[in-house]
Amino acid sequence: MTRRVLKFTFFLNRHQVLRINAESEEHIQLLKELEDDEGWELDFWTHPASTDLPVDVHVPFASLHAVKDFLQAHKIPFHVMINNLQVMFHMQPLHSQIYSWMDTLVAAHPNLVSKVQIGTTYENRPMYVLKVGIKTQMNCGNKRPAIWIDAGIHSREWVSTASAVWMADKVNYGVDPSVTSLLGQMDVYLSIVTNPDGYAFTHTSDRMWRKTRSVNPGSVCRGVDPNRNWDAGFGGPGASKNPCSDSYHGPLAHSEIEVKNVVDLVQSHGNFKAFISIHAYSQLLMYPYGYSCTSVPHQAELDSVGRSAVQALSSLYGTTYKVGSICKIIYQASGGSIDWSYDVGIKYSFAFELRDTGRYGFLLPANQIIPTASETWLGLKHIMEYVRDHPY
Amino acid sequence: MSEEGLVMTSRDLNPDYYEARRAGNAVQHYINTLYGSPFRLYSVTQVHKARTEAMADTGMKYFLEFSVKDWVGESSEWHGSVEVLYPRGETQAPPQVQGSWGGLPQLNISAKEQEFYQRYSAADSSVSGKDIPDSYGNIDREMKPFWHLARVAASFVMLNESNENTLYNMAQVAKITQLETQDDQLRFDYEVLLHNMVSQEIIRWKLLVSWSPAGGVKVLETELLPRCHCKSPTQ
Repeated sequence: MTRRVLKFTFFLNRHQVLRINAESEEHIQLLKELEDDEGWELDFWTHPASTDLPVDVHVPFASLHAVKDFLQAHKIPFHVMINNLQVMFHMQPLHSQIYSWMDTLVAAHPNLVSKVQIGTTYENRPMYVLKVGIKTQMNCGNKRPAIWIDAGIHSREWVSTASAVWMADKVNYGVDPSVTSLLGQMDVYLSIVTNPDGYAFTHTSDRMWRKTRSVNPGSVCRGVDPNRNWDAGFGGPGASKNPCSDSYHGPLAHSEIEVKNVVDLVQSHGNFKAFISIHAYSQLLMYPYGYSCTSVPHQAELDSVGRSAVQALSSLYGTTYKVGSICKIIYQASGGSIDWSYDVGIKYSFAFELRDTGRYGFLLPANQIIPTASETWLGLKHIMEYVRDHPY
Repeated sequence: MSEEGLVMTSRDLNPDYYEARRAGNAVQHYINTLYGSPFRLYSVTQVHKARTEAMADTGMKYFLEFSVKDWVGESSEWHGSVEVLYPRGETQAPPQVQGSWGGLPQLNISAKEQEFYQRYSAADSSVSGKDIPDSYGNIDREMKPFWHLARVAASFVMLNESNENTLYNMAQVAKITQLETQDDQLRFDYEVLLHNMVSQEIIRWKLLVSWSPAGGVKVLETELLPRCHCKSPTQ
């Protein structure tokens, strides 16, 4: 099966990503020199530091022969990891570009993915979710067990949305038998831009915008923190009553239409088995509760799944994550989405905080997006496989 | 708690949990105020052990064992121990940090610092810039030392503002303008955006900063600015 080439603005042809396996200090030194030489315009996704970890380099077409000759001459092992770089994020996609890409994905895989509109936003943008699952005549119309994954609920966390685009691509084009078996049994609902109004605002006006864009009556300040607006300890500690605050919980639970749309979908579906929310930054994998520091009944199991998911994630680039409940790892925060999902009976509720740990923070450079998405995919896959294998 | 034979209860903390992480974050700011440079910045990579003790009248003391490294110079990690005392009181006051830093990796950066200093102390030098990194995480190679310098300067403010309920990071340099060199110190006007992870707020500070290889980083003036929408929204 040939991979369909998706054409959209952030696509680069004929570039490659090479994976280099340095075997000695000498190799490392040579790679460091290569990195410092600006003439070849190489983009090192991982820095040459030790022989334990692979070094991934994005090489523009013009430099390919020269770089490969260099590596071969010095007998440094490498292989082509990504050929015809399918998705390269020099530019973070606008939500309109994401919507067009969704249509292309659906057109390419009609038996695997569909685009579902779950409602509109405050500013009347459509909210789309990709529903992925192997469609057969038998399951058409049935509510198979499902997994919910949302990205970009906080608009400034761009790497969350970017990673979700990459992962949606991966889920559909991949030839992983485990994923195939998963999609044969379950549906994955992937919400790529869960806060489109906020996302648009980060492009036009304020890169650091976090909330929705709803008008708060009686205040000059707009927006509600969509992750303090869920009906789980709503209005409690860790959320603000002040409409100008970045953690304003809103006038009442589910007041934000973006939140209500998800709640309605999940409740009317009735068969979600996992709920995973993707954020950035800090490199954490968390489970409920945020609204309280008491342990949930399934704490031991969630912790164990979390730890092995993080092990899978770390296996790719050595990226370290911490695991724990929201309240204990970062802060007490009421009205959060995975607390709500857990409390309505969706046992496998998790939240990711992706790269990095503060150096770039919300402004993660483009060359870290695919590494972040790839490692996150491994962690997510582990959780999804566990959910598949532990029906309840 | 009885008045006589008052036992100072020491409580072990999970080093991955927020209490230890926040204290480690304050230590990071402290180290950068002492040793940071346009060519050297420290990051506390891990807290290994932590415990806390309430100090009757003075405040809450944290005892940490942690690892730290210079990520600009890509130094090796150094394992240290430190005490952090958050003072009791109603107004914000910075934590007092006590440690010995003799073992902290300090790579030789004098050549880089001298070259940078010579270049920008030229009479007509007038560096300026905005949005560093830009929205996409890009930083011009030439602007990197100014980005590092901003992080060091911001560390002074972040340390001052730190308490048990904050976790500060510098999110972005909104603006940098070079001012006239004075007393052999390069001088810059910075506007920086700080992110407090706990409140999730973005806080804008104006900083007047001086630096030279000999003088180190000094923050001469600070001013808290109102948060703005940087481009005018159409609404």
